[in-house]
Amino acid sequence: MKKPFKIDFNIALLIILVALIAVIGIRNPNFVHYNYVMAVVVKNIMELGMMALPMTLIVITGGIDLSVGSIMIFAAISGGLVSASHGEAAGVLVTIAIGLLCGLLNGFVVAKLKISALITTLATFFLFRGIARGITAGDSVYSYKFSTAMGNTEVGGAPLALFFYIACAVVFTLLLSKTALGRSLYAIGLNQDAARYSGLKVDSILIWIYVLSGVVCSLCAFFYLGRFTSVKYDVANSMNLTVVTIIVLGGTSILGGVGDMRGTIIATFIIAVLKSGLTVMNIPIDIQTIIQGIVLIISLIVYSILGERAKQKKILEVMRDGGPRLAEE
Amino acid sequence: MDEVLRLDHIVKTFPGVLALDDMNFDLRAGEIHAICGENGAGKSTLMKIVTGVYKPDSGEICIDGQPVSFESPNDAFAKGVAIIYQETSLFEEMTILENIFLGHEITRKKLGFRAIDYAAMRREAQDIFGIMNVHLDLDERAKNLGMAQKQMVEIAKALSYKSKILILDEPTASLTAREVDALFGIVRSLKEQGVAIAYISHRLEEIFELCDRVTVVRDGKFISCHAVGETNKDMLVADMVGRSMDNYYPKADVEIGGELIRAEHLNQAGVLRDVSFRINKGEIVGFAGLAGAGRTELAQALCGFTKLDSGDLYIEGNKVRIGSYRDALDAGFVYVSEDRGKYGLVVEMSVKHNITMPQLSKMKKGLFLDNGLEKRTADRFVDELGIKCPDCEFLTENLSGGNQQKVSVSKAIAMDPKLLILDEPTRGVDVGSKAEIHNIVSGLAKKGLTIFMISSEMPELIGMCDRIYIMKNGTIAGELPRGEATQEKILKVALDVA
Repeated sequence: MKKPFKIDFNIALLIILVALIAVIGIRNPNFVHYNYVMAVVVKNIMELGMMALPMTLIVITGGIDLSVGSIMIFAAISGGLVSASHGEAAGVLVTIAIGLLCGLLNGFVVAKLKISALITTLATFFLFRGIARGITAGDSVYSYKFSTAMGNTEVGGAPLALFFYIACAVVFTLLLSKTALGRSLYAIGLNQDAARYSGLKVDSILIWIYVLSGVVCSLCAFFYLGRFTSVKYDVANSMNLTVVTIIVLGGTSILGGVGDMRGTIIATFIIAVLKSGLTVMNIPIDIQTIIQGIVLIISLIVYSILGERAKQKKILEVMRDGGPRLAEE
Repeated sequence: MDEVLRLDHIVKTFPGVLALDDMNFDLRAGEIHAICGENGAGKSTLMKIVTGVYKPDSGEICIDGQPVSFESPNDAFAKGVAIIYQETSLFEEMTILENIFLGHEITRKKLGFRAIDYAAMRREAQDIFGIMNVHLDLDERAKNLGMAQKQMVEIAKALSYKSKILILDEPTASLTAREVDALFGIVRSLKEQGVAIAYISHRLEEIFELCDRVTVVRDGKFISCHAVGETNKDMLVADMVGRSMDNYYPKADVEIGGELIRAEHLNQAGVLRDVSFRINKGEIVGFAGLAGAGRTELAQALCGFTKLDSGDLYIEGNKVRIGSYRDALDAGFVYVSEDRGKYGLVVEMSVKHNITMPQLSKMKKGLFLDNGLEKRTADRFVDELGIKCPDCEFLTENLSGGNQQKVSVSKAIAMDPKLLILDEPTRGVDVGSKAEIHNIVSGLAKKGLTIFMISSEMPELIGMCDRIYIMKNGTIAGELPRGEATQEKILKVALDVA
């Protein structure tokens, strides 16, 4: 829920983002040049950023979706194959259908069969990759007109994906903070039993958000395939972990029930700046990875300190207001 | 006989509740001493004091005549006090032998390491089984054992700690008649070996068959202690009842309308047996019974949380099928759980968010939730039910138990239901809040709301209900109208004392 310290945490994230941009910008002024920002910093993070939006919903319910990268590749490959054999329109439809069906499978297993989301999506992570490899026999699949247009069109120097991202970010932010569905997600994450005992359709809500995640992966599939002109089954293997990193960095609790979309959005750009900024500063890739790890750990520590302080403040308030709570027998 | 355990003038309070009031209890070596009392009479609290889970506020615990103070359950355990709960806590994947010695394995030095000495453990386990006179394969995994065998392993585990005082908490609740006989055999062998046994049970016949003495507790107080030869079932029942009838709000008389609900022959394997009842419009109908009699299970089946195997349900004469709680809500049933923290509320959320949660679809303006409408709805109930909170944005976890319960009730009645199902509405709330909740329920009944009320407090049922159904072993064992219901009559049906 909206807790007072959440806002502080988002401001802290924003300060980190600005500080990173400032430091890197001073060392290498080209980094803050509009064209560079759009063509490199923003463009490279769009798929990850879009996937992080629905996954924030999933994590808030106490779940996780490790299969996102695999769904995207599976959808991109299937779309590419079908468009080559049956035409563009069929390719587009198949891409979307694959994401939807993969999400439906994840959601069904998690919600109805009650198998942990971590295990389910780890299994489907391999499953979808495996199918992608099977149907291509390990070969590359090439982009088609629609996908190429999605991946390479620029509007005022900004990639088309950015506009999709902004639209999605607005929709998901409102969805989480303003709608009945958003409220239900927090309730499920905090106390699934109580959510059920309030008549919330927990199972269908869970299925629905995994489907949403799958469909967003389909959307990303167009951009990704277009950007790279061809994909193979084995690319984008660690995408799922980067998305989880973004969400955790954004202050969403991996245990569910706590978090918001703004944190995820800011964290997306922190990761974007780190990824391309460190390259600009000629920092070797292994050091980059270390720095990313350190940033994540520091943010988690800050988050737990802020959380602990808020809890202590709350305890003080309670002791002042109404004495200790009644012990249950 | 030697007195091994003595509790003198024990007092234990929880905020707002006096759980044990000047409680006395003693236990001798080689005796089986029964403790009986209604649900909530203080038996569990008493046992938690003896086993070191709670510390008494005042009073003295003596073991072998020496005053002791238990800082933790381990402390009590080290002094020879062990408890066997209804639910066993064995590790399913471990063998009987491993379970018995878990945490205190016998070891010996081997190549400089301390290695587990299975042979020594096996010898000792066989000795223990010898004392108990049971024969179980020590290498069997716990998951392959029946309920009764698991209990035997628990007892063996307790004995492996050289426990001199053994507390059995409703050990026969889930056993078959043959298993009960086997258990009694073991308990008697232990008694002959000089173990002191405290035996908690609702089954009065068992007490007369097995025990030497019986202590009755009520309202956290010691009521009586007799040798079983000097008492009988009627005397025990008379001692167990007699809770004060003060502070209960009698129900205001309202016009009782036609039939609202009729249930016919509801069955659910292992839980409900041929349950039939009817509730008329405007009635408060109570469901009495001991813990495990099937009352909560009945309410949950009515609300679609669990599925019935057979039986029909009619609302205002029309047959209905309820497959989920959403169906139940749509049919006008709403359930207020006995476990607020687990099922009733999302305590990390605000009072407002909890109250509106079951009807978020009605709280919308266009696509989005209407904060103003939510706030007005919540404020109305905060005001009507007198929920003590600074405002409706306050987090529910920071409220007292009584106020949390009021939030739970608000959430239900905000749905404007036809039938309100209250499951132990005053459990774990202090005396003041209890009176307030009774007042609220009376007020709702006066407005014509029909109420299905489960309670283990008989005066609460007698004071408030138009009719009381008494459940036993998953079925309805009796029905008493207002005016005829007394605590004694209810308890006799619930305990099956002819």
